[in-house]
Amino acid sequence: MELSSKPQRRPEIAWRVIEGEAVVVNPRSGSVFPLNPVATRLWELAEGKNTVEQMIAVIAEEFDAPTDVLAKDAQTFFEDLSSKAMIDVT
Amino acid sequence: MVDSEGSGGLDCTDMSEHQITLSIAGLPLTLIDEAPIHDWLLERCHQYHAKKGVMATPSWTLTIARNEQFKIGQEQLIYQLGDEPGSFFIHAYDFKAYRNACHESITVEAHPDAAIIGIVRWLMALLLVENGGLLVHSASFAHRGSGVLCPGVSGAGKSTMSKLVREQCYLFSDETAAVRFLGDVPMLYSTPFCGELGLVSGPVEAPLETILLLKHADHYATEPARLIEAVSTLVGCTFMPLREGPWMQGVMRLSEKLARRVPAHYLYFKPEPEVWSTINGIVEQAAATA
Repeated sequence: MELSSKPQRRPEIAWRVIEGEAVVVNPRSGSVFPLNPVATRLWELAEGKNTVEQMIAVIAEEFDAPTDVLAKDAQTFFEDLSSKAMIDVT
Repeated sequence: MVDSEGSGGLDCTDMSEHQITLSIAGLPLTLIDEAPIHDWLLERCHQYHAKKGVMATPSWTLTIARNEQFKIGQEQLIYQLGDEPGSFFIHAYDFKAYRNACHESITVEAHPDAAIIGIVRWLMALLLVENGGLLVHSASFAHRGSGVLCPGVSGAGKSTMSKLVREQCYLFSDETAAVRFLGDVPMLYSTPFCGELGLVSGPVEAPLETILLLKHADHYATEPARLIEAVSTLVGCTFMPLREGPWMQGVMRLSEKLARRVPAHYLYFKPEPEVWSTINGIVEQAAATA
């Protein structure tokens, strides 16, 4: 996943944020994914407008976390979602 | 714990070989089949036969048309909304269904060999969410009137738990329970949908006061589950005839409401009868604080 990529949640996917953590359902498999707070923010920001790099900058500030670690985690996260057809990437 | 409205002296006078009216979790459903309804289905469901005069509304009718030419094996679920509110068409693995919400009717086309109990379960899962309830893969039981739900996917320990506790309490189901809010009170209901043990209780209900998340272990222990963990487990164990859209949002909303209302604990257990003393402690504590 390139840092310049713009991930977008697929609109048919059901999800809900509960006390800062999301529950996401993959409609193809029926699998349920509980997301930690950082992954939840990435999921929320994946609206097709923001690049991965922009998201990392937002989250680094919100969570006071190092960008290099966040970048690796975010790329892995979105690659996983893409392989499950849960996001579109432009 | 009390018998629910479908029980208490069977009234089977309107039950023909082609028709049966069931009441599950307080939702009446009349099943009309072109083919004779199998004896085993009648046997399994007869206790859930809805008595005349206690029919709640809405009261849905499910009509099944048999088609020898129906091709089983639709891999991708097709779901299309109809023009009228609440109406839709679905093409599932082994049946097609059209729902007319205005007439509270669902018409199903299925192969003669299609399992009717599976279609009924599919439909009940759908209707329950629309009426404030969930159909949950779970072992479920009541102890001194206090309902306990143990949601779990295959291999989680539902059957094991059911075998272990059946001598100590009233087992609702080893496979599928219904949960439905009556006002603000979550109620646990038995269903006629059984698992590998083939255990089906009569129609009973109890206030749901404990959720146990099962974990196989080599010891006995409990710990409170976090809200997100309880919600994720409930969503993951809910029957999902649809996996998207407003219906799925309803599953999530109800799961959160349930997890906020009912304490959830992890239960680490060995498959031995001693597990009951651990469960008993949790249930009595929950009942005391309910």
